[in-house]
Amino acid sequence: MENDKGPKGYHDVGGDPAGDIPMADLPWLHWEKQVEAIRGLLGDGTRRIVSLDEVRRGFESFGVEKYNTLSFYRRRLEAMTDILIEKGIVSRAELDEAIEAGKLRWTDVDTPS
Amino acid sequence: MPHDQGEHEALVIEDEAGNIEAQIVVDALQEVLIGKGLLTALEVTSAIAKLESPGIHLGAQVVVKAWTDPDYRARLRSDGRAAVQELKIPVTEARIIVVENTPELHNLITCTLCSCYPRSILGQPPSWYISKAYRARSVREPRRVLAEFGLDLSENIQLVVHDSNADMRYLVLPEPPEDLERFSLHELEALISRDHLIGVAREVA
Repeated sequence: MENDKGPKGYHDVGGDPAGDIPMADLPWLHWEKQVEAIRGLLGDGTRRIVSLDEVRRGFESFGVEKYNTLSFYRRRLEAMTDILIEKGIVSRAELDEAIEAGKLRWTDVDTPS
Repeated sequence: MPHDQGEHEALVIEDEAGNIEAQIVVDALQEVLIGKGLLTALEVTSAIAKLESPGIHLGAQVVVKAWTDPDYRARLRSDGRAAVQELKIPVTEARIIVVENTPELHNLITCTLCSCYPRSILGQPPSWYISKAYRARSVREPRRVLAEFGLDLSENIQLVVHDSNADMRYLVLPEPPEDLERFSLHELEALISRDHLIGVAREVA
């Protein structure tokens, strides 16, 4: 059948062959809620910095390999970050600096026995 | 590093190191955004509390109201969003479409593109709902999917699958138990599970 809409995106999995449904009901982790919270705040009526549609466009266009190796909320986090960088709101350098500082703080903490 | 469960990228799950890394990355992003005055830590904390508050209890409330109040049921079917808001449930979705099960018809909800779900009524979707396997197969072989959930739907019952999107979220209105009058409203609410409202379960009893 002719498809006037062009090739389908890698996120468009409806109808694809796939295995058994993973009957997992995993806990919702703090960092995942934090991603959702920040996304909601950045998209709210007073800020309008990043919309849900923009985040979706982000993870639907960052490549199938990245899409398939990132977990659900990691996709959202990465896509939101990409959009913020694209809009010049934050820079990759300042984010990386904050991540490095965070890693140091994390490793400074004694590992609980 | 995150890893796949199963051979079909069914669900990408972070391991412990991945979760720690993600926590560090989101903290860093939050710190940078706070530094620019774009949000505050308090706003993030209260936004998290708001995300945590909706849950199946709200969906159950909507269903029981519809079972016990025919006028409400009609309003719910014609404008789901407005009818849910009548119950003082804040709705963040643009449209809520309520699809009703009957003895001849069963409804199933999915989101093949992403993970769209009536979060303001049901809370966070279960992990399987966002898995590639559910998204892919729910529209190709829904009866087999239902069987995996333990629901063997009779061939005499028509099955309709609803594919949600960002602006249109569905909610299944299950059939009430036959002896509805026997139960208090509270008891009825307790009979309803999340799976009924997605459509991977059918009988409420």
